[in-house]
Amino acid sequence: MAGEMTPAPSPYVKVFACPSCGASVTLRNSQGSVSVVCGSCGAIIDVTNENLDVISRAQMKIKREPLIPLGERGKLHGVLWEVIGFVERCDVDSPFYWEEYLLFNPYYGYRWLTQSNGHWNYVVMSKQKAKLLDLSTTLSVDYLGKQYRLFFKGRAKVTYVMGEFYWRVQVGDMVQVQDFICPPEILSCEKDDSEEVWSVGEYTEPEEIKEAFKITGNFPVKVGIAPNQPSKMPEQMVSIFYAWCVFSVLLLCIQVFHIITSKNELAFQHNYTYNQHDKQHFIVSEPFQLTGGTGNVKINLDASVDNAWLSVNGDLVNEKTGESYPFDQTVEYYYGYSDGESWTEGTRSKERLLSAIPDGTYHLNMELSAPDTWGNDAYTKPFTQMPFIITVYRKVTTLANFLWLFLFISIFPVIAFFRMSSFEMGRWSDSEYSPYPRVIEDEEEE
Amino acid sequence: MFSLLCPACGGQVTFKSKASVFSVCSYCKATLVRHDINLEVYGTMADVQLDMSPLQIGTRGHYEKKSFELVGRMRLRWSDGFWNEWYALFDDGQASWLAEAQGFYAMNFEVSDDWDLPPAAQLYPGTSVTLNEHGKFQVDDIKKAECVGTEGELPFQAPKGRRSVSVDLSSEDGQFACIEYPAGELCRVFLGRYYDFDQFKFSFLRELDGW
Repeated sequence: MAGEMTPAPSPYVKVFACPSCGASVTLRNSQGSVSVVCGSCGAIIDVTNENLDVISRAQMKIKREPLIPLGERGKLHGVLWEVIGFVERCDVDSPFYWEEYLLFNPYYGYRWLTQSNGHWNYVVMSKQKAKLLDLSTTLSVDYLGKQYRLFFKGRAKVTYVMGEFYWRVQVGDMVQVQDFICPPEILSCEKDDSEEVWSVGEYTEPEEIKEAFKITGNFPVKVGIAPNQPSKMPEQMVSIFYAWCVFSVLLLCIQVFHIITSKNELAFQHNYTYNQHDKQHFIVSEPFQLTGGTGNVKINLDASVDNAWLSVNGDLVNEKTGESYPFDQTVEYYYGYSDGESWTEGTRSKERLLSAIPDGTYHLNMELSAPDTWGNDAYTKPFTQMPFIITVYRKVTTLANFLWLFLFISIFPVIAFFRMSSFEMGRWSDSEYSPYPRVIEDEEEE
Repeated sequence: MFSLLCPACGGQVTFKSKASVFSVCSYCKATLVRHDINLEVYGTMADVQLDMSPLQIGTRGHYEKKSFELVGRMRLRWSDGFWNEWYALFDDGQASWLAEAQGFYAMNFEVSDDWDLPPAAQLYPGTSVTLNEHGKFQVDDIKKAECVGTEGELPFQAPKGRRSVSVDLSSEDGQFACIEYPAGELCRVFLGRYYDFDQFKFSFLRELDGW
């Protein structure tokens, strides 16, 4: 029947003409805001009284598009917030700058959302001050029972403003800033001549903010590691460590099973002699049995070489299938006396391990070799005869596999630990108060 | 609780607290001073400007396991804005003040003592002040305030234009203190704590359009 009813304007909203340029200015929180920026000319107006004094004239700057438009409402931490102000600030002593969004709720007051290098923080102001833990250096403070480390000390300056604020803001306003971190929190102290304000920021993922304020556009990509960015690595470390424990126990069980099922059985042993004067040095052993199921075979070569060596190049041959498993061994042993000290090198006993040898009847084919003489600088003798022993053991206990596998699985927690350290070092890389030692690159003292 | 008749319009003026000596008639806005059971008109109070405070006369809340009701309000203005001082009455008869500014709520109680305090002009943000046995406090800010309106009942005469210097202090253990230097009167000291909005468990809050 009747046309659409125009909604009654909110009683707190005030509209007036900008005293600087005449354009219409809307004040959303007319009794709470102290200053408002004219959206047309950028002049900052004092709205605490009817005079509407102009605090500062037009900002001669390119108009910004805040990532969250003014007037948008979104729910964060269970409370509905309206974006009423936007500030851009910079570090006075470096080209670093960041954005701040002023949020308002009539029940809970004000909050800030800050954005720098794509990283976001939800900031709550506090009336509680922090306690200095070390009075001489202020490197660390105690705040509500938690310890925060100094990350940054410097000055911040306002470079651009939009919207309305609860204080008389001006472009160029400067404060002394100290930031302390305890990830995911960052504790800030901002000080000027009239007051000291403490606030706590909590690292927030951009997705949470985009969802709260229904932002469809793109947010800036994260660059580097934010001072209070939480590391997901301690959690990962725990799961990697847990997995390592499980696998270690598994390996241990396998090894124990292996120990229980190994026989260390002597399958064959024979004394032979190497004769220098033989035309050929080829030996075929008598056959012997390998039992107990498929498993390993250890072949030992023992010879009392004296500043000489003896080498065996052979095959373990399965008499039924003809399958041959090659092996080679060299024993060498040297000793002497020089510079007032006696020394030795080498060993007179060597072993070789062959794996997965099935049961059956076997013999060894061996090709032997040795040098013509034995001795050293002090004496030499011709190598005429060398007795040696060949021993074959069946299903021996080995430790090597277990140790190599254990080393392999241990690489993962070590890598995780280094990744965690490098994240933390990356976090502190931009801070002058980094607890990690700095590598001073150039600059030599004169 | 007792009621008297407004001498200006005859309307009923209720006093919830025996300590209240000042009230504004809710019908005709006459400012009234109470002498025992007599009310005297001495002016009129303009409407306290509509602000976005969620609190109103009649709002109830909790503080340290006790219940209170807001029975009066003083709206103060200083160089950087406004704030409200609510006069709160606890169910056991005790009275206190609830300071409301920028979403911060501080409940504080007047402490009568032999105060030997420096004049307001000697205080600056960061100055240390010892409040007798209550400990050491540091000045947070100093506000030259002017009362721009009142509603409901108050324990002292607070006409429009009443000037005072309000000094906010805090201690290392989180206590809040306020020293009030009213023009022409003796200074008053208040002690208390900041509480989050949720901690007060307010009820009968004002309806805020759009919120």
